[in-house]
Amino acid sequence: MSFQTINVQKKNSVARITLNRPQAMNAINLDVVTELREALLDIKKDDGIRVVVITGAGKAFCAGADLKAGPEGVGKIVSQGKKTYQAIEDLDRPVIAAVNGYCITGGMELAMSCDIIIASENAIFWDTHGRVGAVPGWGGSQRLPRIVGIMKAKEMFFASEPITAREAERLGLVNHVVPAEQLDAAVQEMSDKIIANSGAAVAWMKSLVNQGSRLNLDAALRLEPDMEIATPDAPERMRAFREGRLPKPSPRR
Amino acid sequence: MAFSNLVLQKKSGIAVLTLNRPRVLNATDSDTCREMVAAIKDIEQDGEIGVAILTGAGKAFSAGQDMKELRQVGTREPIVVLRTALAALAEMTKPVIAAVNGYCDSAGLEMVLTCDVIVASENAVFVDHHARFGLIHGGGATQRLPRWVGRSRAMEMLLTGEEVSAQEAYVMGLASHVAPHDKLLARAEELARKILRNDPASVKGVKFLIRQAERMDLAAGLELEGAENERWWREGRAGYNKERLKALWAEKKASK
Repeated sequence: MSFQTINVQKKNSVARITLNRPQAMNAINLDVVTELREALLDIKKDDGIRVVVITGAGKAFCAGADLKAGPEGVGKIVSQGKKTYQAIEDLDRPVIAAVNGYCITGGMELAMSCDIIIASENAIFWDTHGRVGAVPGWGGSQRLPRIVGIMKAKEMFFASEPITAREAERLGLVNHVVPAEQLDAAVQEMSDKIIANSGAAVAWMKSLVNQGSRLNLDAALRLEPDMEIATPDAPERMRAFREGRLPKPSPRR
Repeated sequence: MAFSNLVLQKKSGIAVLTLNRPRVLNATDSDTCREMVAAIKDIEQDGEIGVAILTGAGKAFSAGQDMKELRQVGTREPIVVLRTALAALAEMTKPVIAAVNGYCDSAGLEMVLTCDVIVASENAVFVDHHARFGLIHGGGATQRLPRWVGRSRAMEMLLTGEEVSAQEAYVMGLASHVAPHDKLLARAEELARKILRNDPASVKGVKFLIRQAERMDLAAGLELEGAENERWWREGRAGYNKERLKALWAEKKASK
């Protein structure tokens, strides 16, 4: 598949989506939203893909919605973007955000729609809704407080000051921070660890964690299976463990 | 009470429940789970006991479910029994401190996640292997772990199956304290004694409110807290607390 605003590379069970408008700090316009969704739909159908990585070309990860589109245009981007962001959360494979630089406003919301965030040391996290006079439309107002706590989230929204990758790691917004030149290797290592596990269990757990986060604990606990905790991968994997060998790779996701 | 897979010791208001199958790294088979239900009932009914500590004998806290049993009888029956034991733990009204003495894997992790406070030995290792074996959780980890450490750290632990050291667990807020290995139980008991100094009804009330908070949204939780507080004053608990406050005050002064 070929795209104009993004670049999709599939290799060794990993699909790497690069936002590719470096001249605009990878700001999200209508084309990006549409192409991202197409790429995710394609990945969803591709059983060979086990992990998805989203990153940005150039200095920025993503600068958020492209304000050049004007008020009406941004409105359209926001409403179309909601579906794309939801598609990331709902994708039955883990999505890693490889935050290579500026991660601003809608870019932060993009990273927070992913499952795991790995950031380069020079990444900057910044919510500028307050500066622009806008409010989040891609889940930021709900996801950020759930991730870093209500007090810190309010500070980030109200004061609208950038924070460093290290600070983001301390707040629990970022899983790991690595030197810029090691970002790709760190993401690869994380992908490898995930791919070594059962794809069926990984997909099921992602959905359990995400669905459960929307419910109270009683309802959430009922999401976990009552009796049968084994996926179709289990017999081979348990046998391999017993025999002290590596399991055959999961046949599909 | 006599158990074959557990040891239950009671001393000065504290019950220490030890998983005692060190040869199999305290794997939780169905018998262990059934004994746990009985032990928990005993601790809950014992008026002398104010706090429980859960720990493991030997090198491991618990390696999780007993793979040998799963192989022999399948995954269905043991998971139902495990869930019963974890539910009993989660529903305890008295505070439970997990003193994680070593390897804490999968169902072992799910077990400590039903406790109230986690104290870890510096040798402790937290890990989840469901995805490695193609299994899915039945013991609550996919729901309790994200609530405890946040979504992306929980995702990472559950999706990669990588080990988390005691120190890392401390940084992510999973463990409240890391103690030198030989001081672990002493540290957990010290914590227990600090809880025991307080009014037992208050302690139960606070635990109840925090646990209920997980089951409702903020508005409902605040309403429940308000109602409990009102009942507390109405039923004249304040006077009782005044005595406790006095004693605490005297103790503070004496220690200066």
